[in-house]
Amino acid sequence: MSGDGRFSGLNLLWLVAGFTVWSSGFVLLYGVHAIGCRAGWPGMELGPLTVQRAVLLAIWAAHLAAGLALFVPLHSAAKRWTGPAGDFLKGASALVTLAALVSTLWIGAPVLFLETCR
Amino acid sequence: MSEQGTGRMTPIGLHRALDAIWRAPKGLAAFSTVNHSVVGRRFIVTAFVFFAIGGLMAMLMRAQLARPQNPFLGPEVYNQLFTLHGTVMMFLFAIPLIEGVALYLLPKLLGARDLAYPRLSAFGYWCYLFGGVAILASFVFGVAPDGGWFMYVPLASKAYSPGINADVWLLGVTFVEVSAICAAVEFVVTVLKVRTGGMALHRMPLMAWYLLITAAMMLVGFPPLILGSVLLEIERAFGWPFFAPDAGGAPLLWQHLFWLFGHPEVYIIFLPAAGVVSTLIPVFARTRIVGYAWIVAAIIALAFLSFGLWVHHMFTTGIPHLALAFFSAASTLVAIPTAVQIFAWTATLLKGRLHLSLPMLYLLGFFSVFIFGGLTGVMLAIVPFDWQVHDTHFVVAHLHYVLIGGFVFPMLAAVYYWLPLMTGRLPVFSVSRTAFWLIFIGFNTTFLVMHLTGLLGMPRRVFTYEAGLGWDLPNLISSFGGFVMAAGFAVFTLDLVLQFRFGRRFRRNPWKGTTLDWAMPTPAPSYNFAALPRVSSRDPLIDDPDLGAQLARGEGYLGRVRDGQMETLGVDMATGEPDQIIVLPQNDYLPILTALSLAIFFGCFLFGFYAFSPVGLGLAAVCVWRWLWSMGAKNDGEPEAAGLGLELPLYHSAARPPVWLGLIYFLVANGTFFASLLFGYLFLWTIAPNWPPPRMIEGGIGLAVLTASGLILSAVSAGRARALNASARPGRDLFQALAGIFSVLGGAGLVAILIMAAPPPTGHAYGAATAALLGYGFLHAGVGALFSAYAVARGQAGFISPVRATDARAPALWHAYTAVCALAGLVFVYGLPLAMGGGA
Repeated sequence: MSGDGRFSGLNLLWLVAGFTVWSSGFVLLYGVHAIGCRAGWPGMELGPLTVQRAVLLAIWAAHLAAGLALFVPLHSAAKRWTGPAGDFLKGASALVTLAALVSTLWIGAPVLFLETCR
Repeated sequence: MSEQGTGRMTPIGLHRALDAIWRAPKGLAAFSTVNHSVVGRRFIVTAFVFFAIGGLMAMLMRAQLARPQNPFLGPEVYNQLFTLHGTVMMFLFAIPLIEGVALYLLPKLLGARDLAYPRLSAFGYWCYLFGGVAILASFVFGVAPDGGWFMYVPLASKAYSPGINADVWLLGVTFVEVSAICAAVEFVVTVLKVRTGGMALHRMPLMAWYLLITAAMMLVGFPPLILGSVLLEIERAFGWPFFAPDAGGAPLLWQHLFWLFGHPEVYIIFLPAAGVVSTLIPVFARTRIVGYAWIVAAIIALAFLSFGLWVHHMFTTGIPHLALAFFSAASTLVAIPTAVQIFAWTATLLKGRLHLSLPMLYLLGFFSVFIFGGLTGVMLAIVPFDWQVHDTHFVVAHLHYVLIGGFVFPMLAAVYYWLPLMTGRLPVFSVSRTAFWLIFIGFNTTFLVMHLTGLLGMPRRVFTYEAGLGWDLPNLISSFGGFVMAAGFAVFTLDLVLQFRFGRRFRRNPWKGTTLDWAMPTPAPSYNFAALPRVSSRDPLIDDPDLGAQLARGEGYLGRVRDGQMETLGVDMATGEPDQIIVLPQNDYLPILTALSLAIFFGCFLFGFYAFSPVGLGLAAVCVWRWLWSMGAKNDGEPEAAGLGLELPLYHSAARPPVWLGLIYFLVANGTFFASLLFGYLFLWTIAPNWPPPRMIEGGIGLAVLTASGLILSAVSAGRARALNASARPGRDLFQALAGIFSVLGGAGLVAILIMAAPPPTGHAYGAATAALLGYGFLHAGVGALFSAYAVARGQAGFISPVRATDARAPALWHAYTAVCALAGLVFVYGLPLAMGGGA
């Protein structure tokens, strides 16, 4: 044992967890947008919003929340990663998860102001 | 057991003993070679031959466009040329060159003697060669693909391309992509599992990270293209109208499937080249890379983001603005992780002292050309600008700046950097520099002015143009530059020949490289390392410049020959601690025989002998059976001495042998294929014209429940067989046989639904897509039955035990995957008509 820390290969999934949430958000925004346009959601109102925009905003917000929430279990898991390999995994996972969160914020922002089905 | 090793043999004696079992055979037996260095070299040489052919095609096109109304080429030949040029460069040059470089280098960088599955690499090479030769041979016979390298429908549909031209593309490219999927599985498992001791994640060479992430992208990126090709070929062969709008199909579905592959493909090409840059810059700056963790994070981010860009190739197809905005936003985002790498490289250069050697010259070429291409990429990511220049020569110029800048220049640097490892000689410098300047000047002369040609409105893919439109002079300059660049590549080729023949000999590590690839004699021996090192940093040759000599003396892991076996280490994925000895297969004809069997399948399809095509598949199945059968052992065995005081189990008795991981990653690719199919099904429902279909699925709910139950029982039985084996209780083979029987029944149920309840697949895209979903489940149920039969036979023959459990675990995983996919398919088939209106 080299003092590199001992953790499962499954911990490597933290390197992709953030962007997996991003991917889910991206695919759902694109897919549900198409379904909503076909189903006529832009013509249905839900308070000050259309159903279409409300659903898309909900998807975006849910993925932002999920991306943010990922930091909690990541922080817990990272406490168990020791040694240089653990330090590397902590740093890289945090960077990637943060990048994914910012990316989710950026790609969903057009939902706030663009026409939805034109 | 006989063992020869440290303390008993001189370095020369050890070299001879290892070389005797690792070296490639000569003569006809060379067709059986599986050694990674040989297969890698074959890939590289073949890729450069295809590159030369693709380049010649480009020269013919440039000659045609050199002046207006040029009678040199007719439109038919020109269409074939631009289609083949793109196809050859993307599918037969870029990807295979990456595969070849990775095949050759990965084990050397990771401190291993070979890859995880040497026979799979060899099989991949033959698939690549046969598919590539078929595509090129079609040009000789005048039936080459002519619908553009992205084969858009309806142009590529039977109505508008009635010959076999499009079939050549669809089948040839799919055959070649089999090779890419094999390589991707190979690389992922190799990087994660087949490293030397102590090489924890944070000590892996950056090139290994790049190749790992590239391979993972290939696993997810290539299946949508394979699916699209399969669907279009079925449409052309049997009339299932997936893409025909008058029958509920959608041409846009093809574009989605193609670009779902096509845009990640750009990064699949770029990332390994960036890996070369990240490897070479610290070497020539005489320092360590700056921002290792940042670079790893950046390439992971880039890999994901690259899958969110595909619609930026479809900005002009009428997709709503909001959807375009998602992709436009993602397209702008990719600049950030790319910039992170560029900043890390710049910081490394600033930190060290640049040594302007030949590979570095090509890297400087990369910097200038690629950054320019990246900037025009940001321009094209903006929707209004893209609308203005879509399908003009501006896009042609941009993509060449990105691909030649981002891929060709770094790969030429890689050739100069690593060729001495193959030849044991250094290049003849004056010729090399002449080649560089000809290529660099020729390239920029060709493509810089081409931006202007595009901004002046000249469309792509036209074989000629009228005089007086302002396009004459820019085209002439581009053609002139193209020939200068071609001359540069000719000089480059000459230089390589000179290096092989007259290059200056050297002893070790001419560039002062810091990674393990330079800790071996040159030319690299067939076994790479006489002993595998224990590494304790990212740059083992900085820590110990004498490491190569120590390894040659057998001081390290596995520094001996045992029973004539070809051995390397398997390690824990995260920490790099050795956990098994992997015994690799000897040279074998099965890879080429399996590829030939697939060639029969594809050939029968190409020439319309559909009834005979299953013969090829059957032969391939026989080959695969024999292939798998040759692995494993009939007893658990004792742990073996691995050197440095370590005893390790052999791979078949280890908890996670490479073959188990390979199955998992194959299923990742397969799952992407299935997810793409579900996407297509949903896309047709929501977007395609002429829906709802005239007839939907009618009845058969009871049959569907029975079918699903059969497949679930199959998964449960296989899981039970696995559990019984793990606890050494009786009944393993009985439950495995039951799994096979339930699988057959489930598959029969899917066929029965197709025949009795679903509408015919030829009438409407709904029927075609339903048949595709059910067919996917049927195919997997059939393979599952074979899998169980194989496991029973293995169990009876004594290959399975609680320790040697892979043959019991693998069918359980396969049946579980099949059950999940079949259930999802049935939910779609029966659920969507209810959800979308129409009723089942």
